[in-house]
Amino acid sequence: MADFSNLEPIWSNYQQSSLRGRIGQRDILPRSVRARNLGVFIFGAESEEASTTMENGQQVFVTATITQNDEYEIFGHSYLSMYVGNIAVANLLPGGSSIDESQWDIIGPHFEFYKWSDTGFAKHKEITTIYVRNISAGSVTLTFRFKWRYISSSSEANRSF
Amino acid sequence: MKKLLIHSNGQLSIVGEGIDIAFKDVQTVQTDLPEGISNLDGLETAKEGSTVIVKHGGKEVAKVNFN
Repeated sequence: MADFSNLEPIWSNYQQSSLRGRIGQRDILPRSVRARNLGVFIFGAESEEASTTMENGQQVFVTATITQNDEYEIFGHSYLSMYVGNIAVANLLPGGSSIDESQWDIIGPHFEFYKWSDTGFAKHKEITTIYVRNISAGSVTLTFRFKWRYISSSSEANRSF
Repeated sequence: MKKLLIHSNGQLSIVGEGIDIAFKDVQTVQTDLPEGISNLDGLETAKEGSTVIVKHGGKEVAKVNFN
């Protein structure tokens, strides 16, 4: 029968530290205690714009799509701002100081978020939709700005539009 | 890469990746942005029947027949 009595017992790091009992208030904290949560993740943002000319009575549907691939997670839904003319706070629709909201009809934005792949790392797609009708603002240029936030484990944006 | 959308009602749009603009009951054709153009400033359209002609500085830069 094999006899291993000549061997020292093997202690793992965990067991060794556990032999020391609880760390007292005046003890020096072990160096191995570090914040590890989300350490390798990158938070970022994507942005895309579109603009269109509109006349009185015209109606547009705008859709914006972002598709997530491996190790890339869309974080919440898109931020959307609309401007009548140039991108400026005064031109924000609605709310800008130079905007008359009674000249516009807006439905949305609506956000559709669904899983398009379950294999391995789950992948999602988000579609943002908004309807805008120019009632009486005249001949204008309407600009849409979409922003998405994401979490990724690589510096390369692993997504497609 | 941004694209130019030419609508059969004579309106124009410029869209970034993943964005689409559609007018109600209107046909739309997507084309590459003409060279040197990055926004709608200075772009004009003229309709000849069912053809929409896009001009920039008086010069024709795109033409779409919606037949």
